[in-house]
Amino acid sequence: MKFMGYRRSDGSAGVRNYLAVIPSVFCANKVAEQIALSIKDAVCLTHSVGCSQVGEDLEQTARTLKNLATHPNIGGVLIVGLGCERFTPAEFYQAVKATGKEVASVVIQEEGDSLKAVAAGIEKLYKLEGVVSNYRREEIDISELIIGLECGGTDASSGIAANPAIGRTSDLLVEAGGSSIFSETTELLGAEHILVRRCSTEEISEKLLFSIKRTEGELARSTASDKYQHRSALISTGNFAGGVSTVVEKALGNIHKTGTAPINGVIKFAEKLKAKGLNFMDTPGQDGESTTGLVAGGAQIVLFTTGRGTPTGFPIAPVIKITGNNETYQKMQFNLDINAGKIISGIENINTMGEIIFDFVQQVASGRESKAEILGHDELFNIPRVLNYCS
Amino acid sequence: MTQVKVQSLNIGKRVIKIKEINILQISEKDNVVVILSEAIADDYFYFKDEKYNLKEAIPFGHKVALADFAVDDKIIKYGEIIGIAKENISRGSWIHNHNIISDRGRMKAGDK
Repeated sequence: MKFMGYRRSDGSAGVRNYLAVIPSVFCANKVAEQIALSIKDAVCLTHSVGCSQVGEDLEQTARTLKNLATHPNIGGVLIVGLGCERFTPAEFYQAVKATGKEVASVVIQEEGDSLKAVAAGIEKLYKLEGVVSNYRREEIDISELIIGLECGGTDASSGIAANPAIGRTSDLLVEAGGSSIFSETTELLGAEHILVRRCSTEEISEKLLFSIKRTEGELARSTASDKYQHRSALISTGNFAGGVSTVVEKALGNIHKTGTAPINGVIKFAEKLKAKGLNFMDTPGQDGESTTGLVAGGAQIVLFTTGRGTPTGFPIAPVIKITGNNETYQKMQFNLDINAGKIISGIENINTMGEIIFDFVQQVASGRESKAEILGHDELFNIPRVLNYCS
Repeated sequence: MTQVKVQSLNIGKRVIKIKEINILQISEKDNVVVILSEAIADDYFYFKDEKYNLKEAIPFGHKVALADFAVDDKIIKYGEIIGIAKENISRGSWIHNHNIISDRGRMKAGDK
């Protein structure tokens, strides 16, 4: 099986050909935005981090930004720095350059002021555009595809229809030699005994259990005070309204997203995949933070199940929305790509719906736009902190 | 899936339709089932040749008890324990966060 994608200089394959502007620190956000606005179709990845960070917290920011800038869906990237930040524009530039990707940088304090930096940045981005627009789609084997498995706005239909359907899609991709990643550690509490049986080595199951234990310890610690007794629910008001009663029930519905393939790897937040097949990435449960990790890890496309319905998208990767709730699909047709509620109506079954989604994934990989892309949704870019200094 | 059978009750001007509803048992071990349509009190379903009447309205996707539960009884869905009963729950009742709880991911009552 093949799709029509973009072959990059480091050998990786993209499904989109973005020209990206990425600040190394939040202080450069507005300059980066003003540069990106001047060139047609450039995307800007503004964020809230890059300085006053240390250790694993700073490393996580650096890893996320480097792995996004070198993502195969990006053809060329302009880095915008301030000049005094901890995650230096020089380190960022060198990391991207080393992969052979087209990259340039502009540093505000070196240019003089923000106006001069915008002017210099527009000229550099204009030149990059000339390189990026020369990429052409070519035939690429489906085994080079990595999909992220995400869910948000869960209701009871997710666990019985949409999640099992994308689990089948994930199995089909893995059988064809491709890879998929599931994440959201908080959404696994109570389902770990089922997942460990599917880990391909003892080491992988130990890493998976460690991630869950660490997360659960943090959750217990931060909800221990009586002050937070009304803020201790791990699932949202919408989850409750949708019929999900406990975090364990949510987890048992959630893990159907992973299909039946063995778990071949456990990776850190935003770390690139090392093993083919199904992988677990240790991420927060927030849709944006999780999706950011999945894409930075190498996912070119994200499958996103939503029973309640959410319009969100990611700036450099297609997000495909699948609902298991017929009513939600009727209400949100402009936001939702696939109605897996047909499983509940008895029109399709989990296997046939999994095949329908797999076919859609191949079309999107070759250029078909998802609804979140058509509407320009990009809310899911969100880099989480490891250290938080507020008490 | 079971056929929907409708009978009408006239209560004043409102016509309330008591109906047979569709349900889903995910695992053989489950002691709750999922309601696959919006349901009102007295709606009913048949499961393994037994008739179950709903004690109250239950929204689409929510759970109904297949048995009577006492405090601390295990509630099973997907073949696994999703929580325990916080109060006595009778057969045909709505099962949700008002009457079941799981301690995963939060400090347990005795831990403080």
